[in-house]
Amino acid sequence: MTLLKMDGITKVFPGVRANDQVTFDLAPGEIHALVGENGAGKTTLMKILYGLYRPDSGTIRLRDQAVAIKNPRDAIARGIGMVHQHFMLVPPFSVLENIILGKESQTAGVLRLEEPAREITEIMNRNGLPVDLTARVEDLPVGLQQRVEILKVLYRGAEVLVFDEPTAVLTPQEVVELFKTFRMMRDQGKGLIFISHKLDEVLDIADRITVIRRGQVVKTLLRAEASKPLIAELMVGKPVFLHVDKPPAAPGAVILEVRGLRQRSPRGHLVLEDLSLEVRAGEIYGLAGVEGNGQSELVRAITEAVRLESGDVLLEEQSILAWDVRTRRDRGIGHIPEDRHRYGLLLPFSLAENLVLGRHHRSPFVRGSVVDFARMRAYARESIEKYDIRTPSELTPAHALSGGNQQKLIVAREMRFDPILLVASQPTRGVDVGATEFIYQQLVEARSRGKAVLLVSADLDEVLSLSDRIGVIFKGRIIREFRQEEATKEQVGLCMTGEKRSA
Amino acid sequence: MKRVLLLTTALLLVLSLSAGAAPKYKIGICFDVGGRGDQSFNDSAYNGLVLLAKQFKGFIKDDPSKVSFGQEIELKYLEPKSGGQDRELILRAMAEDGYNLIIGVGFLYSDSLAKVAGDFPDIHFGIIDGWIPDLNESSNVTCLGFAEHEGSFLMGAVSGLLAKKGTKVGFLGGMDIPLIHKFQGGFIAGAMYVNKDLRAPGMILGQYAGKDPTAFNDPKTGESIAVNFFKQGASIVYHASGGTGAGLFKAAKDLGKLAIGVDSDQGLIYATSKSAEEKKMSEFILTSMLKRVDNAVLLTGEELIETGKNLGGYKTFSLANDGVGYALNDYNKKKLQPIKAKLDNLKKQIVAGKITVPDDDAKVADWAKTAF
Amino acid sequence: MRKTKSKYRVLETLSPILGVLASVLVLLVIAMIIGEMPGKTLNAIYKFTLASASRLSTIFSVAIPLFLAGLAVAVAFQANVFNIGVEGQYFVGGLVGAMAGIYLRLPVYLHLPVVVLASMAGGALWAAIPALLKVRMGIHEVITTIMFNNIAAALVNFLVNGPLSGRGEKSLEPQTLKIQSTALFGKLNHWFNAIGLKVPKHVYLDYSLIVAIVMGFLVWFLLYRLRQGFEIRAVGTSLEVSQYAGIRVKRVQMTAFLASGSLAGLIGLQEIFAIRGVYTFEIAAGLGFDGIAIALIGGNSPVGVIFSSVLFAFFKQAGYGLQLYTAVPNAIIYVISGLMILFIVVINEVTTRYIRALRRKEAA
Repeated sequence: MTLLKMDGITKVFPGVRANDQVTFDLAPGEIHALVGENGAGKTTLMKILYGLYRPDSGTIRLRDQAVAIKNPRDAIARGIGMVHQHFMLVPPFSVLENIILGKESQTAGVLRLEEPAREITEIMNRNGLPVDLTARVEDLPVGLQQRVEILKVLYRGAEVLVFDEPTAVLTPQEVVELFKTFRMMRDQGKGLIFISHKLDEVLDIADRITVIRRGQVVKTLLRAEASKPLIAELMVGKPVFLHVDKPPAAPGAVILEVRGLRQRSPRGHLVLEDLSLEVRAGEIYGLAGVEGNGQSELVRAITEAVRLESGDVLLEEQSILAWDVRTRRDRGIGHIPEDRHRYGLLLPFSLAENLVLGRHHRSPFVRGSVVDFARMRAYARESIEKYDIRTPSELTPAHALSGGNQQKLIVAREMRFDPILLVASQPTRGVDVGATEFIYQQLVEARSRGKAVLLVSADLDEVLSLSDRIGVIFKGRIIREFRQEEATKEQVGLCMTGEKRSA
Repeated sequence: MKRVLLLTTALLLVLSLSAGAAPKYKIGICFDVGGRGDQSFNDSAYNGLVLLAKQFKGFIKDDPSKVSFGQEIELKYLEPKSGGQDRELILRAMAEDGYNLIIGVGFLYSDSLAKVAGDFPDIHFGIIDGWIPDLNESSNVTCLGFAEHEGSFLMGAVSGLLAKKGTKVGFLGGMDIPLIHKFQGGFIAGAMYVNKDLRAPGMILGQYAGKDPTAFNDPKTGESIAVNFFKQGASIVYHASGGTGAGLFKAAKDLGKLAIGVDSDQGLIYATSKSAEEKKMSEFILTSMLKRVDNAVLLTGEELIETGKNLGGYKTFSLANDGVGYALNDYNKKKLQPIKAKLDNLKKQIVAGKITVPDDDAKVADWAKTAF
Repeated sequence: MRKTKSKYRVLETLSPILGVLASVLVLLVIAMIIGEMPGKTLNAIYKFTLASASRLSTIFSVAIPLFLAGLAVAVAFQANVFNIGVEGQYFVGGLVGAMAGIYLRLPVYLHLPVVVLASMAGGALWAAIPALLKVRMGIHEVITTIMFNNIAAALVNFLVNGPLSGRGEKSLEPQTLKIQSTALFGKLNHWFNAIGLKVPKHVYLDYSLIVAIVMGFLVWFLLYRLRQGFEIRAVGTSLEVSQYAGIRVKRVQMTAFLASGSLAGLIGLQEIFAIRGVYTFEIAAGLGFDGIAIALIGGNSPVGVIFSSVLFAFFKQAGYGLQLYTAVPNAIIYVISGLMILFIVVINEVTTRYIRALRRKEAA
């Protein structure tokens, strides 16, 4: 028996066949991974399953019954649940309130809480998802918020669960926990669809793997027959070398020096505690660590003016603490922000405008105060060509680009500004394999051109393969630094948990 | 679809046929912002239209109450949305639409009416309370003014005659503008004229609700001023403050004192109101100073219909031609009975020119030197 | 730089038209309930808006202050500043301009630009305090500007009644002294007549039209051609991205706020310098709030505001047409204008989303 069978699904949007005769099935007690580059059609397929789109043709069968899913409410009623990449939670509500929201039971208008609480506690135990039901969601770390999302879906009785890049926001430890939950759900006979870019994770957890490219299913593999290079090749249609080739480092003068930074959060916790590090010209310094250990605060202290308790940040031996963002940028600090939608792009603005953002006030993009659009567009066309940004034109608004291309746009912008220091925060988060490879090349290229690169990433493989030196950040301090050749994944990983001694 | 079109056309045809012969005269009035239903100025002007319709077999066009006594005179009113260019716009609209007589209600029409009148020499214009300089009989504009000070003099007399010995009287003004000072002047003079005690300083209280147009529609402020007056020892308070006066009536009812209304017969309006609260208040309204805007509209329309034209210039509606007066109705008859003769006598003297009434409170002091 | 493919352009222009049609439809239905046939209702609108050169040119005359009001609000909106205080800025700006027109003695060629600049300065001045409170202390401008509207109304009333009062013996309306003839705005009607457009002499197509055109162009140039305008739009799109890009957000918002206030100061030009020749306590109220709706419908762009202000003027006139020729009461016309704004905004939002979806598909 199959739990779900989607057969011959086709969905055409003006100008593009987002899904073309896609066939996909899911057995009870199975984890089926769906992989493909950004824009390959995974999201469209899942939106069809969840009732957000209607297919132009094709059928969906649930337990061998043909169904038409009209909307998400309908999908939920039929036992389909979706855990979104961006959580759909009400931050000031408690965990319990969030879970029952939309499925409240009441007696004479009074909300009944004990009964659902018992039921939810039982679901928690069965699936290894402990959360404090009385905690407010906004106080929870991301990993626990995700648990709330999963509980929400299970509480509604989902049999088919769709996870859209669930690990993108998690620490390695949290991923381990999540996968435990996955296995427990699988053992209860539920069907899981797992969308991810991280091939290691896919190989770790999935029973079957379906690769989609350009709206079509390229192949569905059993775990046993799959390997990382094979999947990567199927995804992009050509072999990708995720291993980074880079010439030996030739570090020069110290470009960035961070000295004894100490900072408290608004609530009074120490978020940076006597943090010091140096990044030299021609080297990539990788910052490894579990998210929330001060990475964001450190990046902010380098890229913008913030209030510090003590310490200093120097660029080429000059203190920059009093400089505002514009001055820092003008003096050569480039920054790839961790959340490109929130910080990196003016989404309704054209690609050309986004490509000069941050340097739009300087020659050659303005003459006097008048913007030179012709020059801006010419510059944009060069950048599109050079950085292989896939777009209909340089006047296309940034929101119309796929995630990978948006990230390429940001990388292109920051690289072409020719900074002396490049701060790259999570540069490949949520980006497909092709774009990831390209971004790696660019970081290495920056290094070869003598720039200092500070790489902050939650992806340990990325840090290990790119960095010349690796600093492990834990509770606001650099607790240990490794040279690339002496760093192993196990060692660094252990260190990230606060264990200083080498294993 | 075709059928609907056909039906519509047929209906339109029937409608246009039933309109019948063209009316002899078209008379329009332009209200001030606030329009119909203000229970005061605009409504009084509207009543003028109703009187015209009744007297000359006319009808009020597009009126929800469907006033119609015939098709001989077409009557219509319009209301601007805001100030600025809008007053000029609606005056001009009526002029272009062929109205024979157009009356602007309120002094705010002065400038715009002068302009439009200049562009339409064949149409006659009237303006209530307004002032346009250099008019004569052959002008196509008539300023329709009121001798509010004369009417207010009678209100002062009512207060002076009925105030208990030793108590004060008060005047509550709306917006602090010359027009309202005209009311105040007449009121003070009347009170002093009939009551020696009130000639002493401090016996006649006076206050304005504010300096902007909202002062004409601010019952809260009206109430607090009135309460204050009563606490200072006033027994009767007269108001010339539009909607603000509602606060005075409430204060009078709450404290068991007396009030005098303005413009319309407010005592009658309250007495016949559906609200029990307002009915109760009417018991504390002695009388009202009537400003017969309806008469002004009626007389001006009558002049046109009967003589075929209007004379330009300045026309004052006073005690002499019943343009102003005091309200006497079934509800206050008994209260006014003891002083009615005196009031009518005072009125006669004013009409005869034996008493001249000061038209500003600032002029009262000079007037008092020779008046008694 | 915002050039889009023509197919989107068509959709974008179509959406407000749909909103207008929807509201007209509602109007016709309500009128029918009141007892007026659609033919008569439409005819009343037609007669008062398009039937003659006088009516048609009046629409444009009425649109002038509305355009300036929309423009003032739009500039602020572009920087994500909610200047609800256009109303107050316009009262104060107009008064300062009028003072320059009354008390300065200058030749015409100087006096005219001086009163325009004085009006802008007055408006900017009244915007400056909420602007400073916003960027220095983080107090939200919606609260402060609403307060400042009330303060402006009270202040202007006080001044016109008191220190600046120029009330003649017979004029009953509180007002200033008359503005000198050198500062009065003449009409441009003969220009239009010269090029064959019939504009009757009573219609106010006066110098304020030139001011409006110049300001419209300047604002367009600022927003879409100057670096400062780019930054205004960036800040309006995302504070976070702008901060990241090194844009000095507070300075930009201050600039937009002051520009908005200066434009607001110009709203009264027509009424004060062309129509009345004095400043009165009774200067038309509510234009500042109309400006909010006009900016919204016009998508906060100068070109859009041209259309939406003319549309607004059209409906204002249509309202008088209905009052004059039908039994549809004034109150219904207010309801319909409110509905129209709602319809246009909603339909606009739907099309915008649709276009965005189409674009994404195209790029995918």
